[in-house]
Amino acid sequence: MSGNGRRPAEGAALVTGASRGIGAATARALAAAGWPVGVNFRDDADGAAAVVESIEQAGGRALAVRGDVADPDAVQAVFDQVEDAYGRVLVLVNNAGVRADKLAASLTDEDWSGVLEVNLSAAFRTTRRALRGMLRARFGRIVNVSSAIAVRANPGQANYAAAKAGLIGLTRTVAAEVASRGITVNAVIPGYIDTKLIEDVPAESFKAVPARRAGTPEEAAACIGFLASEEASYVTGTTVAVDGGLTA
Amino acid sequence: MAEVASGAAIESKVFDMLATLGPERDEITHDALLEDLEIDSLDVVEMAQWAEDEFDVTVDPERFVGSKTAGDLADRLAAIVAEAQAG
Repeated sequence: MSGNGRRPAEGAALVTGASRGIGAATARALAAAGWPVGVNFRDDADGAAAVVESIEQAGGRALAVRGDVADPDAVQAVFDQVEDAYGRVLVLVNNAGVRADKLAASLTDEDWSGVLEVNLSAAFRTTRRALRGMLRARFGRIVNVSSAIAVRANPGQANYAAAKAGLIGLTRTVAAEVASRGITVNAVIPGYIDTKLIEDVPAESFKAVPARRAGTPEEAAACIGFLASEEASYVTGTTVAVDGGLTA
Repeated sequence: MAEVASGAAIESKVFDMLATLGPERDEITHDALLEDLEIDSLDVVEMAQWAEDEFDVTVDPERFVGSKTAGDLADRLAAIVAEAQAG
């Protein structure tokens, strides 16, 4: 039985890696759209607390939830906490990401597997877990935060590129599997977004961007917020670039 | 400890659950073909997840691969529950 595409009255959003950057901006955007939000973080408790505080000051509801999404047990615990507080997770934003940049010739196995675990395998596990509730609700929005690096080579990031390209494959396939149940699965591919993740990127890199600047986390969050909205009900299995034209 | 569920009781619960997925309850009989009921593989995964909560057992959806009828699903689930209860 397919869903009617309408957002249920109850349910929660979960954003992984939400203590700063795109994740934090996305948590705020989803809260502004009326979702109670699980603000997942691994280490930065202060950052997550600040995100929760800003959401509450704006009249929203949010809960900081510690957990390393690369740890399957922690994923379960994160979902349990959010669902205990707010009900089923009906919006999932897989944003947590790490980098370990080296030329492929010198990447260690740990550099490879660590990045793949956090940036790709974790998104699979959270997706699998979230689908339980979404299938029952006949409504769900999954947004995977990929990267321009998935489609545009950047020497030194073979592990990151492979993980982020893998996310697009995951996105498209899961989207096709669950489309009949009112669940959409999409990816965004941010280019240079002004976050801690790119603080070591030299300014001249932005010359390659047609917009001639880095984007803001809020610009990325606005796109994610649309994909997570009820109105985006017929958008699934696609990737949307938020990159100032970098991959155009 | 959960009450031991009989095969008939499990079948009745499975059919009630399948009815929430689309088909009319009175269409769902032991020999009703899943294809005719428009129960697809994702519905079966959902039924497996429901069964985990309903019967407090671990249910691998792969156990249902090859099921042709609603009765097949119920019988296979009854076997899983019996195995779990046998410990």
